Amino acid sequence: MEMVKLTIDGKEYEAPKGKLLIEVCKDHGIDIPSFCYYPDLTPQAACRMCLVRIEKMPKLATSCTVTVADGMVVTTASNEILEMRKGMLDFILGNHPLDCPVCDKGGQCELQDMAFDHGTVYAQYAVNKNNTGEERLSPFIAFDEQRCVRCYRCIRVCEEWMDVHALTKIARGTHEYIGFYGKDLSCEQCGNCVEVCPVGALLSVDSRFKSRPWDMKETVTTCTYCGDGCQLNLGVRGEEYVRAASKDMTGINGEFLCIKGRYGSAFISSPERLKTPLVKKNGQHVAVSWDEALKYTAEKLAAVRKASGDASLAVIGSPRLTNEANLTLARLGKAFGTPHLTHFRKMELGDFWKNLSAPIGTHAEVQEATTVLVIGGDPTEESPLTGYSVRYAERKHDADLLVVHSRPIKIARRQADRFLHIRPNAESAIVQALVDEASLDQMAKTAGVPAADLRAVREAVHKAKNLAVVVGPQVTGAALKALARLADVIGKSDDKKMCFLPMAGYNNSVGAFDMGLTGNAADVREKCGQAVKAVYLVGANPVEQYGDGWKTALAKLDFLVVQELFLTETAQLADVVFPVSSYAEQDGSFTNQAGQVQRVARALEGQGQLRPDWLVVQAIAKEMGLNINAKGSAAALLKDIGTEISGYSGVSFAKIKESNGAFRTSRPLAAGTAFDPILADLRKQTGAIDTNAQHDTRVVEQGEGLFKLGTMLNQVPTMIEAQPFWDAHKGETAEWEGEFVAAAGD
Amino acid sequence: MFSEALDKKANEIIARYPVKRSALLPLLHLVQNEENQITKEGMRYVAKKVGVEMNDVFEVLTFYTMYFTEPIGTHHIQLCRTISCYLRGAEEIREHLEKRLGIKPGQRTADGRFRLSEVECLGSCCTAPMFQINFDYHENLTPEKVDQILDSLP
Ligand code: SF4
Ligand code: SF4
Ligand code: SF4
Ligand code: FES
Repeated sequence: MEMVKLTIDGKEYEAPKGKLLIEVCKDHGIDIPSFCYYPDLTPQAACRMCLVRIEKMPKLATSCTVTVADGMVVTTASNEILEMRKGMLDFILGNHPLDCPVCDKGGQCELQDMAFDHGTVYAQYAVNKNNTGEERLSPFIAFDEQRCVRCYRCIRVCEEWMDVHALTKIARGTHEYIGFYGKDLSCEQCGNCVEVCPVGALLSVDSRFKSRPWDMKETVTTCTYCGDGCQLNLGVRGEEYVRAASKDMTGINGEFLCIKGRYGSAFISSPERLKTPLVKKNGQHVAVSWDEALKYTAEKLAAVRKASGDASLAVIGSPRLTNEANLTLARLGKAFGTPHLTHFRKMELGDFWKNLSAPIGTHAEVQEATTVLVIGGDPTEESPLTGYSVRYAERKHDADLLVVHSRPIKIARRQADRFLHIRPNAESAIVQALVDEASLDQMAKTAGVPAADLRAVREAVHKAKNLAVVVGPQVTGAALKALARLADVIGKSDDKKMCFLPMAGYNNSVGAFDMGLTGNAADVREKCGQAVKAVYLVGANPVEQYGDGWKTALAKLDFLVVQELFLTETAQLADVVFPVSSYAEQDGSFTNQAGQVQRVARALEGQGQLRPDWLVVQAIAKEMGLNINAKGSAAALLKDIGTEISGYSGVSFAKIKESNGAFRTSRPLAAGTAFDPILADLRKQTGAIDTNAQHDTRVVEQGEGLFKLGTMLNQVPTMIEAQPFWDAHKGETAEWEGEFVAAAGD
Repeated sequence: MFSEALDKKANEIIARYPVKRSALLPLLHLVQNEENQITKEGMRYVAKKVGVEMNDVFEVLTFYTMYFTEPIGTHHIQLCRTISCYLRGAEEIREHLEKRLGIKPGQRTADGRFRLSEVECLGSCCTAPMFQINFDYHENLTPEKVDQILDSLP
C-alpha cells in the first residue's frame, strides 16, 4: 500500500494514499464532527459538518470526500471552522422540534452530542418550524420527519447494504423529507436504516417509548434465527425485554441485522411461554414441580429401557439449542447406549464435512472473494448476512457472481453476472457439470439451461482466483458430497483461494452436528412404536414442521419427553414437558455456518421456573443414575467441548472473547479418498431428474422466506400484526419484476 | 402501454447522453406530455428505460415543480411572478384569473380544463406581465386580454 505524508494541525502523519481525510483523522483520534459520513457508505457531503481548511484550496473542504495526498496541510480546528460548525448546526436545528425528553434516541443521539460539543446556546436562524407528526411507515418502522438531519444514511444503507431502495428524498429545500413512492414502506423491514439514523427520526415501532438508552442493560449475544450468527445487543429494562440492536460495528455482521434478528426476539416475553413442568395425567397436562417431573420422567425412561432395551430410547436434539445443550444430549444418548441420536436439519452437513476439500469461509472471506457461486439456496430470504456478504463482494469489487437456482431469486435478478435458471430439483446436474466436463452438454439439457451458459459458469469457477461457494439445502445427497470435493477436482495451487459457506438453516446447525447428534431423524420416525418406544425431544416441533407423519409416529410411543419454550403441537403430544430458558435467558454458545463459535449470553432471568436445556438433561441423567459427566455451568461444558470435540480445541468463553467474539473451529480436509464412487452416485442422482419438469418462473417475492413465521416468530406481536400488511403487498415483487425472463433450456 | 412512436422518441433521447440515466428528465416530460400527468406506469416505464429504481424517479419528479402526478388539465396557465412581471401587474392578472376560474395557484378547475401555476421568470421581462399556456407565450397581459385569450381556447 502506498503511503503519503500529510500535516494535520501542525503534526505530521502517514496514511494510505486514497483514504478519506475524515477517516485518517478519526484513525488518529482527531475529532471531526460529521453526520452524513458513515463507514462503508458512499460519501454524500450533505451535512457540511466535517469542513476543514486545506492549504491551497480556495474554500473550506468536506473532509468526508477529500482523499489524502502527499504534502497536504490540513487545519481541523480554528476559529473559522468552529464558527462554521456553529452555523451549520443552527441550520440543522432550524426545523428540529427539540423534543429530546420524549425521544427514544435521547442520551444516545449524535445531534445532542453535536449540539453540546459544537453548537451555540441561542439560534440565529429563527423561522417557523414545519410542524409534522410522527408517521408509521410500516408495522416495524416509524418516522418523525422533524427530527431528521438529512444525512441520507438511511437511504444509502437501504440502497447499498440492502439493495432494497425503499427510501428516498422527497420534495426539496426545507420541505424535503425522507419518503418513498407508494402508500407504505414495503421493504425487507431489516431496520438497518433505524440503526444508522443518527437521531430519533427513524424509529423501531416495537420498542418505541419503552425505554431510554441509559435505562437499559445491554447484553451482547448471538441471534437465534438463521445460521449466519449475527451479534446482537439485547436491551433489557428491569426484567423486561425492550429491543435488539446490532452490536456496535464489531461483530461478524458489523451493523447489519435482518428483520428476524432485529425484530424477532419479543417471543421471550410472550405470555404463552411455558412456566412450569407439565405432566400428562388422564390425557390432560397438569402443572407439577420440577422434582416430580424429573423423577417421573427418569422412572418412565428407565422402565422403557429395562423392558425394551437401550435402542428403544431415542434422543433428538435441535439446531436451535446451544452447543452445551446438544453436548449433554449427545452424552445422554451415549449413556443410554442407543444408536438413535439425532436432530432435525435442512442440510446433511456430516456428508459435507467428510468431503470437504477447501476450508469453510467466514462472511468476511466471502466478501473478499472475486468469484462467488451461489447454488441451492436463496441467501436474501434464508441467510440474510450471507446475502449481504455476497452483495458486498459484488458492490465493492465487482466480483463475478454466478447464481444457480430453480426460481428467479433476488440476487439472480439483480446482481448475478450469470444466472442458471434450472428446472426444479436439478442442482445436482450443475454440480456434475462442474466436476465432470464430459457430461456438460447432457447436464445442460437435464437442468434445462443453455449449454453455453453452463460452460461459462464452469469456466469461471475453474479459473477463479478467489472463489467462494455458497451452498444451500437444495444441494443434496451425492451432489453435496461432490460439490464439497470441488477444490480437489479443480486442482489446488498457491495462487488459488477457495472457501465454502453452507447455508445450513439454523443458528446452531453446525454445532448440532459437531456435538455428535448425527443420526437420521426419519429413521427414528419409521421406528416409532416398534423398535423405538420412548423419545427425548428437545427444541423442535416436527409435527408442525415435518407433517402428520410425525404426529402419528409420536402417538405410537410409550413415552415422549419434550423440552420447549411453548406448548407446541409436538409438546401437546408429550407425556412430560419441561419449560426451558430461551437463548436470551442462558449462557452458552452457538456455532454459525461459517464454523465460528460465538457467545450466547444471559440478558434476563425470564418468568417462571425456567432451566437451561443442559441442566434439565443432566438432572434426568442423575435421577436415572447415569454418569454423563455433569457440569455446573455452561462455561464448564464449553471447556469440555474444547477438549472432546475435534476442531474446537481450546474453546472457552475467554477464548471467544479473545477472538473478537468469534472463535474459529477447524475442520480437516478430505484427503485422498476416492472420488469415483461419489461420481457414480452423482450420475445416478442426475439420471433421476425429471427432465420434463417445467421451469418454475415464479419470481421469489420479497419476504417469502424472511417473513415466514415459525415457533418463535409466531409469538412476536409485531410479526403477527404485520400479517395483513404483508398480505396487502403480496405479488408486488412479481408485478414489478414479472417480466424477468427465465433462461429457457435448449 | 406507451406507443411505439413514443418509445422510438425515448430511445432517441437516451442516445444523446453518454449515460442512460441522464435522460431521466426529458423522458419524464415525454411521458407527461403523453398522459397529461406522470402515472405509476409512466414512472415505471422511465425507470426501466434508463435503468434506475422507482424511488429514484420519484425523488427527481418531486424535486422539480414542473412534473405532476395528477392530471395537469387541458390548459396549464403558468403565470410569471418574478420581479418584472410583478412590478407590471402580475398580481392583478393573478387575481383576475383566480376570480374567473375559481381556483388558486396550484389548483385545477373541476372540469379539468385549466390549471393555474405561478412560476419564476420566463425570460420575457420586456413584455411583462406574461404567462405561458402549455407551450405558448402570451405577453403584455391585461385582464381584458386574458379574457380574450381564455375565450379563444378550445
Ligand atoms: S428497514 Fe431495511 S429495507 Fe426497509 S427501508 Fe429500512 S433499510 Fe431499507
Ligand atoms: S431519517 Fe435519520 S438517517 Fe435518514 S436522513 Fe434523516 S437523520 Fe439521516
Ligand atoms: S441474518 Fe440470520 S443471524 Fe443475522 S440477524 Fe438475520 S436471522 Fe439473525
Ligand atoms: S460528513 Fe462531510 S459533509 Fe457530512
